[in-house]
Amino acid sequence: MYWGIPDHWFTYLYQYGVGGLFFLGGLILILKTGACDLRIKADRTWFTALIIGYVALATVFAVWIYLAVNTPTLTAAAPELAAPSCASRLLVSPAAVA
Amino acid sequence: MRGTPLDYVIVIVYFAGILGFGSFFARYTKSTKDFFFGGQRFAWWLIAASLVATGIGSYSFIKYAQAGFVRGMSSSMTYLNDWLMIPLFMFGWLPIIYFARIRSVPEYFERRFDKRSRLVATILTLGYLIGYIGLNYYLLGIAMRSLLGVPLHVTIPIVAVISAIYITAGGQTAVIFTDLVQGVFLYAAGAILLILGIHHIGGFSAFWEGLDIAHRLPYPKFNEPMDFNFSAIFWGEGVVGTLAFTFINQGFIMRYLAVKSVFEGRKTLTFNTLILMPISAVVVGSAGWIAFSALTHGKFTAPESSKDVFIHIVDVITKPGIFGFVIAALTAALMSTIDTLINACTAIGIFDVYRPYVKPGASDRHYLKASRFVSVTVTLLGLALVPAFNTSQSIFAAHYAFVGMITPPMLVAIFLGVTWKRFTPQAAFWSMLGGAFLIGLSVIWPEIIAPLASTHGIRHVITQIGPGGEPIQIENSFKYFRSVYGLLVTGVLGVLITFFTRPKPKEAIQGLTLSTIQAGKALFKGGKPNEKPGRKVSLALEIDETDGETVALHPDDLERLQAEPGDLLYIADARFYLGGLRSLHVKAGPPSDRRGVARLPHRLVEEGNLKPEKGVRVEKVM
Repeated sequence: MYWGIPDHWFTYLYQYGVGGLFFLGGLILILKTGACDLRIKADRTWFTALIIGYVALATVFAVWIYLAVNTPTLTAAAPELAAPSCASRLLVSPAAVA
Repeated sequence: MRGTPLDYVIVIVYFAGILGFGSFFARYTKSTKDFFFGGQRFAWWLIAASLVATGIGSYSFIKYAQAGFVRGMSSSMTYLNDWLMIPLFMFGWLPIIYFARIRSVPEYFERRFDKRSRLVATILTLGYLIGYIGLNYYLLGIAMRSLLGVPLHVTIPIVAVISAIYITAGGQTAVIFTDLVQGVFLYAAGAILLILGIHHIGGFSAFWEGLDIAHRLPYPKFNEPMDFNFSAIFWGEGVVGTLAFTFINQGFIMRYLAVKSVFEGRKTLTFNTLILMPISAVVVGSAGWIAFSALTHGKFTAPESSKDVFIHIVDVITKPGIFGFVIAALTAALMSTIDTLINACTAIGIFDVYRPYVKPGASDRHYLKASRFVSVTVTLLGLALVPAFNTSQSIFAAHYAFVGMITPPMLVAIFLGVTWKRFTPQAAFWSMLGGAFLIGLSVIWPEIIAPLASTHGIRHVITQIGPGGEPIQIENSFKYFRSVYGLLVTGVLGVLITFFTRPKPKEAIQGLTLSTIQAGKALFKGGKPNEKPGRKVSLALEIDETDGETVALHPDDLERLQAEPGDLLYIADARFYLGGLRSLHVKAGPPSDRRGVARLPHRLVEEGNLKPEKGVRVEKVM
């Protein structure tokens, strides 16, 4: 938990929040310097594609995390308790897990 | 030796096929522009597909299967976080190198800064690339020894000879087309393993249920464990790694310079990052996820070492023939990475060493011959390093440390050079050297990085409980955060030195910075760019027996293209599946009176390998 947010959602928010700042910074830089000129149709197309790509990725990852946490699993460990590596997991026999 | 005779037949047929296919493209290599940039004429889909195989190394299957088994689907994180850094490449670096006709990363250093910066960049890049070629050969040998039981001294020379022959003959065109085939092969092998694995477990639901939540999540935990946590991967791979890959990876850059236009390059970039890289992440990691789920279901026994998980799961789920297919795919992964590295290394050898220092002012024909010689030399140098990698683990560490030391300084120099007109040649040179030195210090004393890493809760020393219950202290080497540290210290040095030194005159850096890209575009065309969106038109091709340099089109056809005389056009064989193999760039000349016909001088028809009977598709570039 970080600030009351579960680890799996915190990493997601960090990825698209802090990562989003880099993304936004990149967009501002290319607009301010004129590298991307929105009066040119091709530039408008690609600028839109950049934003759609960001939203699409953020959506896919949100759905992925939601499904990971909210669909049945044979091992009922909560994500906060789940082993960070399977080194300890391998100590449990498959039969015991099942 | 493992595998059945059928497996070996498949591998041999595959090798022979790649050798023949790659060598076929020698006929399309008539100049150094062809040898290194495929004539700068290919379609986006061809380059995107070829990048698939380039991005996957032979050891990726083994490495990511292990990560997938131990860490779960978060093993894919390194493949899936590039988009955040893409705007600067799409609208910055790509148009700059394309329009400025930059042929190598070190060349940018000279044009933006000065000769000595280029020299430093050349030495560092060559050291990295040759070491990386040797490392890749070695890793292929290790993979094959694990899978087939064949010794290194048998597999490595065979693969080296095959790849050297087709690269030397066909250059970048051969690399692109063989990588296309190898990419298809890799995806097919990945798909077969995935389908067989899921079938082995009992269907997709059973596969998904067999993963615990930690193995399903796309990201690892925020700051633990020490060697695989979200914040380290986000900063080390997602931010610095992506910028390094897109800005200073010569092989990657050359592939983007092989597309027919910047617009087409953006299509490649988008499709590759949003579609193909996620698929690649599944292809290389899925064996590990399947192994873990199968383990949960009691259908797989964990190997003693997780490094062997790929071999074990392949053994369990494949049949004769398919095993051979997997081996061929692993070899494909290696060859497609190696061929790109060799071609990239050769480009630097020719453009940054041979041409300026050994034989300046020679003909292009001479440089093409020299390129083939350098290509063979580079292959031999890479091979010569294999025994060193084989005998000493410290060589690995040294190569890794070297790459870690040179990447952030070069990246900062390019980044500031591109984004900040005031950034000076003195600052670029001294910040590169100073940055590498400060990073070197952090290899000796990792605790220098501790304050930075501690902002994310990552500690320098961690205490764990040993097998006998005794506490063990483990020192964090800050593998990922070192690159962030390198970026910061080099950046600070660069900015400080800039304020005390003199920048290059504005006119000398036209087209080399973000704010002068539009000027670079005009320089590339040799006139004002025409940005009016037009259509692609299909035309008949007629040979004009004059020795002109332009194409003549009817005013109606020019109208459909929204082009005017003097505009830059791209003319390609009408068969789209050739991906631009038969094509060229040419300026529109005075209009002709023949509607629906492109009249092109004989020399240009030859240069573009066009066939009049097949017709052409014409589009305006700018």
